[in-house]
Amino acid sequence: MRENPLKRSVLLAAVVGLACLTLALAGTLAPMAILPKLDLPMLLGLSLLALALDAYWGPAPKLSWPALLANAALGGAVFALLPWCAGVTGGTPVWVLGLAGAAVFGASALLYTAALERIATGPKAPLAPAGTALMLFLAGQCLSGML
Amino acid sequence: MRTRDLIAPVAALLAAAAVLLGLSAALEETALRNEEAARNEIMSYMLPSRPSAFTEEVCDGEDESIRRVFKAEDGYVLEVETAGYAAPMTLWVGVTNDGAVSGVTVRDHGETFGLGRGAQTGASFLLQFLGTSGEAAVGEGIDALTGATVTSKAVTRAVNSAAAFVTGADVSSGATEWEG
Repeated sequence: MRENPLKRSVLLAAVVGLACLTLALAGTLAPMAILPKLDLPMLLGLSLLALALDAYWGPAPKLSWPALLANAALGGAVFALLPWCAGVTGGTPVWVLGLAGAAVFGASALLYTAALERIATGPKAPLAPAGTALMLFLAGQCLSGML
Repeated sequence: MRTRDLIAPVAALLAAAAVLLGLSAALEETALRNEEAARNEIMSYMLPSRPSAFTEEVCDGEDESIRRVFKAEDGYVLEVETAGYAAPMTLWVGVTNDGAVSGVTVRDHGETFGLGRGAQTGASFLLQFLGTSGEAAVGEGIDALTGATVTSKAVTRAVNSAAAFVTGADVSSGATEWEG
């Protein structure tokens, strides 16, 4: 059966939805707790988690520009809509979250797919998808620190 | 890529949005009630008489860093936002009616782990502000956090703003009944 090239956006919606659910419940039950913000490292971490799950879920998709752009647009919609619905935007305008989410998910999907195509994966290298995501997360954190 | 490939991600997005929207609406009242109770409990430690009730006043002062003003019998607790090293910091500052700082807590920040984050957890740093009345200055009675001078100055600025608001330095404020 043909693999859906937008499956990673489904996983992103699930990951971001669960994160928003956790933040909303924590904000209700422990309202004075200082919770993590939806900043660039958080967006990147959630994006890479979805991409790593996608890599474990089935065969890694080949790099395709239409699919990449569609995934980026869907990523922007996910990061704009779900935090707003859960009330956890933390004062950040929804359009900023949407644009940042599209850029972060699009860029991380491009880099992650490109890296994974060049790294041995499969049963003999079960940690490769997670390791690649971790390396990209650390690199992204450094970059966001410089920004 | 085909158009029908879009069905699954769009359906997943809308389903997640619907669940979160419903949950958020259901929890709204509980969240507000819990927030008020927790806020009052923390604020009660910030004034000497440990008041149990606070009244929020209209914040119409000239100092834009003062975000919210809560009044109790023997003083005020002010929510102050100031520019930290990495991101805005939000502090609560307790100030008695005679203008003395009686409590400081950092409620939100984006400071560096191991450096500026000490403003939130470093009791010895925060304790230095108790009893000051708007004259606190880093290097003049206030020791900065090691490696976090910008953060230390941000906290000092916020504490001084709160004290000035109560003592009448900010004369347009609705919270300046005491004009000492």
